[in-house]
Amino acid sequence: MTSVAPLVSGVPSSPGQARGPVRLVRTVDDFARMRPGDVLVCRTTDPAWTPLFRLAAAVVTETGGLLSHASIVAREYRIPAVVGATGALSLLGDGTTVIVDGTLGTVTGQTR
Amino acid sequence: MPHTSPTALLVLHAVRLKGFADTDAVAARFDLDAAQTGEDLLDAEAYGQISRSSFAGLAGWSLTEAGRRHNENLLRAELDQTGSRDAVAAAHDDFLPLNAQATQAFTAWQLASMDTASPAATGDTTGRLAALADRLAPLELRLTGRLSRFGGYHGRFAGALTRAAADPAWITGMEVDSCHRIWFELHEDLVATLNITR
Repeated sequence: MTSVAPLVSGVPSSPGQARGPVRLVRTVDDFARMRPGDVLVCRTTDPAWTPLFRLAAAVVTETGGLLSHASIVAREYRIPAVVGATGALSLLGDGTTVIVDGTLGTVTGQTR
Repeated sequence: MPHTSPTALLVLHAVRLKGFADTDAVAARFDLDAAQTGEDLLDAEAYGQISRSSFAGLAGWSLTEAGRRHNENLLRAELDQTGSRDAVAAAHDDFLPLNAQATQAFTAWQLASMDTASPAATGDTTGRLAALADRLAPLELRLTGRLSRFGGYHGRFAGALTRAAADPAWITGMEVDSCHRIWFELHEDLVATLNITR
């Protein structure tokens, strides 16, 4: 059953909708866990994170806004992004399938 | 007299700034000898400071968490030894309002490009970025007056801007050394040098 209420919401910063498993990435040492089609969920990004955007179906960051570097890079790769999504790393479960709506700024999932 | 950073610092810092790069790109960042840089990178890998990985068909080096800490320790020591902390912090303070203008210009450009089927006109964006390039030049001079490794940003930015007139990919593109990538790199350089979060 698909829940309607978002698990997490934030600033919609790169339009479109994508579905995929959540990959919680806290440090560069987690990068190897990222698979093509994963939803990248992290606190913020720096230049080291750019290759992950090539793999990600969508990006969710806890910090940032429409103008942040993560938003600019996500728009460049044409993948949906929700930024400033407070609590995303603790509210989203690693491996859980979610739908990221970069137009509405929501991350929704399926109830267990 | 500006301080010239030791090669060991530059190799690791190039990996930090490029984020994910092959040996040639790491060497090219500070115009280092490619063969020696290859050896230095293998040493850094042996010390657990960098790791080699493949993403989406690309292979390259990136810093481990331990390497990131080591990079920040080297940068902190350099700032202290050269008495440059206040000057770099002041330059960062002056960078922030320029960064706000730059990210607004990049975002406005991308949103305008998304709204139209045909490529958006570059004139307004390149005009805004040219004004920022004019501000970047003296900021870089203040930094290179202390640490020579900060040199080159303005030249690269101005070069990308010139190319953007014919090919808009040079504004925010990820496959070329675009204005946004250069700006992002300078931001990372300041943040890393001062060991602050963005």
